Amino acid sequence: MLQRYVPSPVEQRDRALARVRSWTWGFALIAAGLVGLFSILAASTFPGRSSGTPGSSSAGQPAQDRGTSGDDSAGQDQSSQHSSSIDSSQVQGPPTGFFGNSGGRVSAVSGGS
Amino acid sequence: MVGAAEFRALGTGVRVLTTRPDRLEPARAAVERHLDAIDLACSRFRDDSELARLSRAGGGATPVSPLLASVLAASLRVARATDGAVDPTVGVAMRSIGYDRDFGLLLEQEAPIALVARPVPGWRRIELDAARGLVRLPEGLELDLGSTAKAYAADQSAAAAAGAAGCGVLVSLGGDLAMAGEAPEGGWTVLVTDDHAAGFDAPGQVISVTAGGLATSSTTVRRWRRGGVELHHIVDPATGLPAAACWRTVSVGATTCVDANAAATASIVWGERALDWLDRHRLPARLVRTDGEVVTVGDWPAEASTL
Repeated sequence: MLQRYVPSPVEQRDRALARVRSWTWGFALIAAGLVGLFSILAASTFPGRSSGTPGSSSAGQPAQDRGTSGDDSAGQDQSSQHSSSIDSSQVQGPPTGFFGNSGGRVSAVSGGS
Repeated sequence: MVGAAEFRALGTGVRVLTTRPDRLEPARAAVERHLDAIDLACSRFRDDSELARLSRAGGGATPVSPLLASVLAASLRVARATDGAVDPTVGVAMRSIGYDRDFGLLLEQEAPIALVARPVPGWRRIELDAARGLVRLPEGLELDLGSTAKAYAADQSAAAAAGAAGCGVLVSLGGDLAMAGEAPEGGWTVLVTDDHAAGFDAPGQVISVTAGGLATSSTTVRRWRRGGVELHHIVDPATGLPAAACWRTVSVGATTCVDANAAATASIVWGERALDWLDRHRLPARLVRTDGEVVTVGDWPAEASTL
């Protein structure tokens, strides 16, 4: 005669706990994946890291945007002709038309001092 | 025809040019006022300077003037932008290589000194609260705002002079140039060479520039000997010693003199690596190797006009 197995209350409790445990692991993995995804998205859109700006940089090169202390804005020439999306902590190239075409006499010297 | 005035300040030669000769005096006066203030705030060689008081503060939070706070902020920005190649915490390193007094007096010293490679403390150890005007330095850390303070002074004094004179102004502080206001037709004609004091007919390249900043760093100037060892003033923060020889002179154009000076000085420190960095940052540059070979980067004009 076939008897239906009925788990004891202790077994039922253990199975329920096992289900909770596996769900917890699943949610943790999904959360970790989302954190990684959003980290990549945030890093790729951070000002000065965009490949379309003069201030872009890549890993392993001399200058990086990785410091955090200090004031980034004081002492800056705010009249820069560059886009405001460029990171102000980057050294910035000269304005358009920086080099002229004067054939006049030398009036100043740029040299070491 | 431009107006021109020359004088000395911050231990170097100053040249002020104006597009209107009749407006030279107000421009010169504005520059002199600004340089006096910078000297009092940032000099490493004056006991009464704010910088000297800050170094003596012994680790406590010290109130500083808005001017010193601004220069310090600029130097921290430069340090970050150059990944520490231009670092304001080289004060002790400069003293340890013998540069502990005004350069004119330095040449009189001949005793040997022990050179030990040791990284500088690093700019991240400086705490600046610009809003409250407070600075905290670790005990024993000494600042040298040197070239950044000079370039900052060039930028600020050029802007002040252009405002005072109501015309275009070029300020040269020891060969670091800042321009403000409208340039003369075709731009300011400038000789780029090793030594800013060498004169208008020195070997180099003649270019013209219209705005922003143009700076040159060179290991051919401010050299001295101690105990048979030849030293120069551009310190590599990674070693605390004069930077290794690759480029003898680097000239860079940028949106400000501070940025141009930062890039030129960092390039001396980096050596060959500088070429890629300058190119990626779209900084036109002229680099001269120790053997005299010239390499240009970006939009820097061709050498057709070389003297």
